[in-house]
Amino acid sequence: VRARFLLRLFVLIVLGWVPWPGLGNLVGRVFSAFANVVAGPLARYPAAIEFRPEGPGDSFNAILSVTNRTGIYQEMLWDLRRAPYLPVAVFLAFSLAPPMRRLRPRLLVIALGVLGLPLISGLRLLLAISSDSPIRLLELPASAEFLLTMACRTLVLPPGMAYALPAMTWLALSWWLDRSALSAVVPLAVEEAVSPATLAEPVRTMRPAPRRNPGGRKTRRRTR
Amino acid sequence: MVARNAFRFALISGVLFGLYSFPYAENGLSEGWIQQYLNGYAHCVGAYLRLFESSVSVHGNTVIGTASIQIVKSCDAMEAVILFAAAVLAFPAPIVRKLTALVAGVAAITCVNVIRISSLYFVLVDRPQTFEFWHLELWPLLMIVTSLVLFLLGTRFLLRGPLELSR
Repeated sequence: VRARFLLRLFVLIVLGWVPWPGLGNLVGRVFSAFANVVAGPLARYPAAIEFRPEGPGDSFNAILSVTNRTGIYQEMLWDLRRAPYLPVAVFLAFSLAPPMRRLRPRLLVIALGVLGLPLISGLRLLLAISSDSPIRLLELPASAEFLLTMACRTLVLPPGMAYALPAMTWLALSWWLDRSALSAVVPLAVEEAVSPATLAEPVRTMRPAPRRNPGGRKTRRRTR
Repeated sequence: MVARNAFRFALISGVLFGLYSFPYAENGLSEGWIQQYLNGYAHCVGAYLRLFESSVSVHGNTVIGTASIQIVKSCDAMEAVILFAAAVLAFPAPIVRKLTALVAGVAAITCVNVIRISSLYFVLVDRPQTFEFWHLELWPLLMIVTSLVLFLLGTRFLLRGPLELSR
């Protein structure tokens, strides 16, 4: 099962990597719509935050335009491929690679991951509009800004986290909601805890096995 | 047991990432150390590249040859190192074995990273238009996979022999 899981995972990651025609444009539209709903309320009128796809070409970029309360306006190019597209694609690959045993928990894991991972990459946006710049919209306490900077440097900026973060998110969500998916991938240390027997009986009381006496002979108790 | 190990992993990786990502003072002692460490990396990459191209030279953290590359903080594949280190340290095994696996694994990841940076140099020379793909998409995945494979190999070593697990 593990070999099959790894093969499927590899194929799905490669499929996610390929810049299919129209994919960049689709990602730009979907992300812009999602981000405008989530990030829009961060700016109060007359300030505004708006994402829009870069243009008619098939680009994985979006344009973020931020207007502050005094009317200062700035546009930034937002690379959607590294975040959130790749993390979401990798997460989907992990979620779809194990054999499907139970549909509902799997769908729940997918929904939480697909909605949650873009929010983590949205830390970049929070940092951009809360740091000391002409387009500052949020004034966070110093401690919150520090934590935001650390979270961004740890979870979003290192290129390897585009793969490690979705993998860990999938592990955590599956452990919580859909352990049957993990049985296809568990390494040595986890194997015992998620073996099929454990899956069948989530709560098992450990008792010593009863002594058997197959010969039916009477055993004599030695007394001192 | 698994939940406890996962918590340990999260805690250790959080601390290590915190130490690495902390916004240290620009001209402070820590930044000086990090700069020395990056210079060391650049010298390793330069030494490796000289096997293929004798004209390569190293100035500070910059490797100069037909193309030039600068080794900055995120070039050291620290996320792969930290995740590997946290996974090994969180694994329930005797501490001596953990430290042995840690040193061997970090050395192996560093070697792979030197190869990664050197390959990026050649990509920059031969196919600069594909540099972003190699730099930001393919190699980060390979580094994470390397650290995962090393961890899985490490678990065999950590679990070998009598299982006197230190908690």
